[in-house]
Amino acid sequence: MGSTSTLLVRELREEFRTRETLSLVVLFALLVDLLYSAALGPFPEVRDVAPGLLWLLLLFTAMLTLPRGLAKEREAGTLEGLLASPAPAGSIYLAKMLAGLLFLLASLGVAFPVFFVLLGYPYPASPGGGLGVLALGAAGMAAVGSVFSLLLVQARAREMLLPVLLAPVLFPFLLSGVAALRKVLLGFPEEAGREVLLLAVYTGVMLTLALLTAEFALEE
Amino acid sequence: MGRRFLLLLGALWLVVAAGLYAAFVVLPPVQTLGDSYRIFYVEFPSALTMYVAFTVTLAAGLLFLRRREPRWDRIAYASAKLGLLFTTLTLVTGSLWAGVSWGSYWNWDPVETTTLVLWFLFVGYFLLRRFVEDREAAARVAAVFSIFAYAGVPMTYISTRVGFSLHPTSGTIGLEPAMRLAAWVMLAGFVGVYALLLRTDVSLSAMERAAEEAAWTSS
Repeated sequence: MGSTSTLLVRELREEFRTRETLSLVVLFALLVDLLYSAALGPFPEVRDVAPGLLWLLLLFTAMLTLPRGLAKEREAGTLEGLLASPAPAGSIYLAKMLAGLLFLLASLGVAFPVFFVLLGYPYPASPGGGLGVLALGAAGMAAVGSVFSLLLVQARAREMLLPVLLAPVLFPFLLSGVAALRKVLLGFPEEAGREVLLLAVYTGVMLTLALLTAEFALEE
Repeated sequence: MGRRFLLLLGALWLVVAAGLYAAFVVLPPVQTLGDSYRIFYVEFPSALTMYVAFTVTLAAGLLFLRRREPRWDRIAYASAKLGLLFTTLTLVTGSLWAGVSWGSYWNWDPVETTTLVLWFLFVGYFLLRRFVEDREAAARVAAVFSIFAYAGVPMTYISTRVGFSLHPTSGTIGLEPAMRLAAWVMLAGFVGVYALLLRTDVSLSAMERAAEEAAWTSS
């Protein structure tokens, strides 16, 4: 889709100029790591809860980052122009979704290793696999979070409404994701097949639904 | 209210009363769970009616997106209200049952958990509608949300079986034919009540809308 890549390049070029969103997103993820230290104390017994904590880190970061796509446009006064442009709604959605995903991946790249360092977790069995599971997690969250951000374009109290809507819809994703990550980090990635399949199916289904309904979300 | 409404309401009262009488007086207690299982006769129809309401909300939402007639949105909204009611009822009765039978009120049982998630989805639906100013936009946006919400529910159920696999699922109770009959009678009663309330609510909101418009045009 030509318009998707045009819009995505526009997003990235704009971001590359200022790097505002990227700094905020990465900083936020690191701060969650810091807050975890505060919440759990030095050298806590985290092995059981580490997968859950990592997924929550991703979720919180996603909840704050994904609406930024549209919020940036609103702040710059370009939102009406974007919505009025001939670009199909699906392309607008996909561009915002991919940009959001890139931000989340960047934040994971930094916050994931820092998590293990700050919480004194012994070197996990398969850090690459763990990052892979979380990357898939970011994709699913970006898929749903971006379309919900589009739905909320005319809503009040957007910043609170998005998490409220996102959390129950993401629940199965989170549950499977934590189970998958636990198995991978403990060194049994072969056992995580069903969970990873569920993650992939969820992401696929939500992405498809989002592409089908984007035009309804963006109607005037 | 019309004669027909009162007659239907009366008939449904009888059905539910008969079901409850059977459930609590006539039928014998069950092997393992004894008398505490009787709440099943309320919990089971509640749960199914909740799913019916959810499905109606989705279907009406889809029809609204396709046809843009306000009638479909009224149906979706009314069904969601009733759905929330029955979901709450299911959660409360299910939780009581668990508390009495197994000692703990919440067990992260797959069905239980899915019902809780459904509760939050219904509430989210209402909040979404409330925070979007324009009525048509609210209806449209809520319909889209209900698509995602509905798609999430089977995956929620599956994921609880995968993710909480250490926990036992609620077992099936051995139901004799007479008990099964009572359960179906209660279900018919509950769904009947739901349908009647739905129709009433939709008519009321149509009348409200008409009154609003009349006031608007005459001012």
